[in-house]
Amino acid sequence: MSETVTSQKLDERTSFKSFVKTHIFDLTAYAGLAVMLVLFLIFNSGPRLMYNFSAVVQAAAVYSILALGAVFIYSMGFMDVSLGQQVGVYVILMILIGNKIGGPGGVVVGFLVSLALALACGAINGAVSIFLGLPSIVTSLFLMFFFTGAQYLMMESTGENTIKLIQNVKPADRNTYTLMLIGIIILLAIIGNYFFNYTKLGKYTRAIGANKVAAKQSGISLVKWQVLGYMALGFCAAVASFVMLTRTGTAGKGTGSGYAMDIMICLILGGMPLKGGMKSKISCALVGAFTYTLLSNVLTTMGVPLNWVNFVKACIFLLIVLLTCRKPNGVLPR
Amino acid sequence: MKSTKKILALVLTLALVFALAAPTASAKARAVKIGVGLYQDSGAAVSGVKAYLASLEDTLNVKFAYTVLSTNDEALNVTKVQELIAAGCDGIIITMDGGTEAILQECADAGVYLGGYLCDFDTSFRTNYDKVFKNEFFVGTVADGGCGDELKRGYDFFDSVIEYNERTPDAPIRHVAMTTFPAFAFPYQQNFVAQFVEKVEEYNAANPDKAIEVDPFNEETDILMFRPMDSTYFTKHPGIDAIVSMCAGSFVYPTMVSAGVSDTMKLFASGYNDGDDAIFGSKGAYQQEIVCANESITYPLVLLLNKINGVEFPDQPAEAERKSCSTFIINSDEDLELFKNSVYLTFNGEDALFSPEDVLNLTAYGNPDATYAGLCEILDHMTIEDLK
Amino acid sequence: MEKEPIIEVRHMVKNFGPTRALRDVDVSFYRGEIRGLVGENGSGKSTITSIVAGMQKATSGEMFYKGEPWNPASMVDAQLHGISMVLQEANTIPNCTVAENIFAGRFNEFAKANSFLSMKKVNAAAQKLLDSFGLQRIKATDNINQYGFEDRKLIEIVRCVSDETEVFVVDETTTALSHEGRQILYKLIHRLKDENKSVIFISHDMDEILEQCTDLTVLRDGEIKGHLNRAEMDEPDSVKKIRFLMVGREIGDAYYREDYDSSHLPEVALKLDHVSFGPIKDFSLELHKGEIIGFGGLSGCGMHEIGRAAFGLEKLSEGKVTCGDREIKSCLDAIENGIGYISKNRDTEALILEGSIAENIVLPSVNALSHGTFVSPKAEKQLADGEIENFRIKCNSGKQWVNTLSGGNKQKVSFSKWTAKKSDVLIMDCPTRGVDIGVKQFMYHVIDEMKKQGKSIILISEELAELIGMADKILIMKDFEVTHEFKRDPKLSETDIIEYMI
Repeated sequence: MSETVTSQKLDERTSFKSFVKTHIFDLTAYAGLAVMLVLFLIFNSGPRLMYNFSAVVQAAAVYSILALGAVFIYSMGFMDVSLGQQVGVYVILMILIGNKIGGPGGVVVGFLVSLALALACGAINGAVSIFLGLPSIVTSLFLMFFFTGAQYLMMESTGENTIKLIQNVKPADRNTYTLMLIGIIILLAIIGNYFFNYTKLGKYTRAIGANKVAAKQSGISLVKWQVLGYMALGFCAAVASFVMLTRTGTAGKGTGSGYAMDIMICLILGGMPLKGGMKSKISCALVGAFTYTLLSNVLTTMGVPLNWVNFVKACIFLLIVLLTCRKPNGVLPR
Repeated sequence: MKSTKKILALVLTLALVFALAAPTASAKARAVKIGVGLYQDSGAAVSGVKAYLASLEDTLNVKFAYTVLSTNDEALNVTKVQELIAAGCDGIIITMDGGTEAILQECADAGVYLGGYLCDFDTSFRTNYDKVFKNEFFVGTVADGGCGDELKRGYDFFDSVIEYNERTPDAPIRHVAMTTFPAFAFPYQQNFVAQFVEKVEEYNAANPDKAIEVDPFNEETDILMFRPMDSTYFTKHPGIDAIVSMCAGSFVYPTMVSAGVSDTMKLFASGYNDGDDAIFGSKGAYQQEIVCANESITYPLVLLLNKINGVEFPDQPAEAERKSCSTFIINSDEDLELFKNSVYLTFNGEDALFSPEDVLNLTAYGNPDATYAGLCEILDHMTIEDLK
Repeated sequence: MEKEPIIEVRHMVKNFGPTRALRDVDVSFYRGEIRGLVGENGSGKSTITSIVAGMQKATSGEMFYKGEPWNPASMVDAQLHGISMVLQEANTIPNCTVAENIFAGRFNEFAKANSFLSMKKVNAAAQKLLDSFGLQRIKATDNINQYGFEDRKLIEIVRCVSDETEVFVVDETTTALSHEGRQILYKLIHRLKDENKSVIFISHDMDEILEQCTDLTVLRDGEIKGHLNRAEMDEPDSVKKIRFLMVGREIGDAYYREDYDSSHLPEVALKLDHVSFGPIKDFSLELHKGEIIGFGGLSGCGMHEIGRAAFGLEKLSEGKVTCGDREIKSCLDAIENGIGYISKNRDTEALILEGSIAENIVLPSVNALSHGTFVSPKAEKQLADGEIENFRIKCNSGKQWVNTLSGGNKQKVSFSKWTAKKSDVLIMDCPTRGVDIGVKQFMYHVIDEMKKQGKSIILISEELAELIGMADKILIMKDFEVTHEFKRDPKLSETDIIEYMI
């Protein structure tokens, strides 16, 4: 009897240990988010808590939406360095078209034009690298330079450093705005989760990231699904651009710059394997985006000295990367 | 077990890092908190302004919190201001005009006041005046030198070159070229170029025997895209005696060194960097540096404190203003010696132009006789002469 | 004569999470012997040798090497002390030269401290080594990419063995080698034995083991089950005895097909019509329903390319591949028309190693399982679990990762991808390579059942016994052409076939 109990306990301990070992990377990412949340709650109290909560949601919204789209291409082992410049151009387009046509209709048209452009860029990004046999980063570098130039020229044509959308797109009430953003994030998260876990798009992009050759030999069209993956990111880029526009109502020559790196950091903090593959998870997007936003927020509200901020961020980033970097699980021979 | 240990280690390490970095709690009554959004996180300018503000804390019962803003990401600036508000700031001073309307919206929602420092808010002034300068939560701004068209920095550069030539009649500067930052970020630097050329032409007409040649402005080599100057500059401008750099000298000097001309060629620049004193005046290439005194932050600070304390100057203007400010134009060894005694370089609040009591006396709540005109007057007294 | 032990292993235990790969193993290896290690996949034979050779550490236990405690830090450390190992998988560094591969990690032997490395010396030393192994045709300065899998394996062997080598472990390497390569290897291990060194030889090829080894140790489920000396190995029923020790049950004589009925249905399932591509010129083939066509030949004869072309992986310069009335231009077309393909490069092409068993099995079937955009996880799980059960894949669940499986179980996953897809035509390239006899027997049974169900199979194999045992028709290829065709016949032997291959 005692042997049975002991072996049962052994099995339970073993299965718990095995669960933790299998999911260590996700658990670490979640732990990072949990720590940030705890610190956030500790250093915010009273009416400031709700204010800061809405500030975090506003700051995290753009990152979350971009990261949700980026998961599809990161799961293929790719990245897109043109993301920030794309967002900048889309925001400028929405303002220019919105101001030209006027009224809410103008904004809608501006969004649709940006969406069409974003989807087209996604298709180019996905297809060109395969057809020309180039690493995906080369195509996205090309797009980065293209969009940097476009952003510059569009702003030059206005003769201003920043341009402003005349039509108001931000709800006057702060709480309404926060709820609107939460609603957009949740909606896109649900859609993203569906497509990533329950449709061919997510399954195939992960398979391509895990082993392109085996994926092809299992009947997956590399061109088609790479293109669709990038188009998913393009869709999210357009939506994120709109959300950014609601925040500031303005755009300039530098709007969006650096976002490609920010999204990579978000995904790494969320536990996303940079080489993609089967261990990619859509949850990495939200976990990482909120961890990243909360980290910056908490450092300021705590009053961390300015010259310590980058050092602290670097330490935390390094720690999370070391814990989540995927090492092979020992060698189990045939 | 290993994995559980890893998670525990992560949590403990994070807690420790934060504990080390966070300030200790104070049992004092809650001071007013002012947030400052700077344009960089380190350097002499940052240390100097922090030292000056720290010296005011006790007398004014104010605490300061700092963050760094972005030159080109408006959304990030909004986020940074939100973080300062969430950190409990009652007033905020920013050094960028990016996303200002959205920032003011945040401030209005939170009942927090906003002021500007080292920035003339030119874009808001020209294109969004009503929403910014007429906003009750905006107290005004002080520029880094002159505002908009008022800034005649080109003339300052000219004066410095002439002063140099008078000091060194054996080796005067007769041939110069210029550099600027890109127009989208610093539109008025092109005006400085025109001002400098205008003055030189006037001078040359009156002093043909001492004429100074100015190379035509070359957009390819002379505009520095926030990166160090390329050495092709010297190929485009052969035979020059000096560079008149409307932008920061730190983008020009290293290239002079690597080109091997820093011992012979002179540099007239804006800004000041750590270590420049060793290569200034008779000791090196730098012959002019222009710095706005850290103490100019007093202007928005006083206006914020008045608002927070619910008082106003009797001559308070109806709308917020943007003010020009005099600057330290350091263009001789003597000037440098004076400048070295300023809080900008000593990081000692006692070396500031104003003592904590002086600042308190500038406020409407600290001094019932204080006036707005009196506050504005201090901005004319931040020259190198005032350091004597 | 009492043989001198060179390696002693005492109470060795090795666990991989819940999996107990070695359970308290005691074994000694001696000088002057070629010790065969046999066992099913997962029996622990590779685990022991990988620990001895410094590839990984034991969970507990002791090792002694030449009488001293032995705890190597790495494979390089072990090699420097005289224990070398060559594996089944590719272990060369792509994009480097042959010489760089041979001396990787040992360049300081050719450069004095703080001075330049002389690549000329490195190249010369490498070529000398290659020549000493009879491999003059491999040039030390060539990029290793231009050499095929077999030559790279030979280069690995050259890399491993030096005058200082005392113990040489060969872990299922011969499957990668042709006849010529195997001869080189056999010559080497016998030379080492004669020099009073020790060789540990792991292989699934029973004939090879019985021919080349002086002693044999059998493992099963992480335990030693028996030892045989040369005399015992020479006994007439030794194979049966060994198999019994390996599997723990009577395996019986039923291994390959027992029938000699090479009939099939009249319909053509797959047709290659005068196809030309690369070195293959004007090749034609008709595969009927319920037929097994075997392809044999030396490596490089073109049979693997035929398999790829039949699956739409090759761009044809002439001719076409058809399935019914539909032309197959890509592997997507092939799969949609019910054709499946098991690549001989199992780990790099046939499987996603860093993926679960279930994900691998259902991948070709995802399209068929989807309703609109939705793919039911329940349907996927059902499909995967069914195949896991059918194939008796040894695993905790479908969520277990493929790279934790033994070679035989991995191969079962490769198979089950296409049975799950209900493919009517299956192209198998070396399907039983690196697989133990228990699994092999199972797979032959599956192939036989598929034929009876009217499925069509192209069986490409480098094992003649397998082709003779399973195929209705055998096409032998040499220099990218079919040299002879053999019909299934009880009297057909390997000797009949070999002359058309060489």
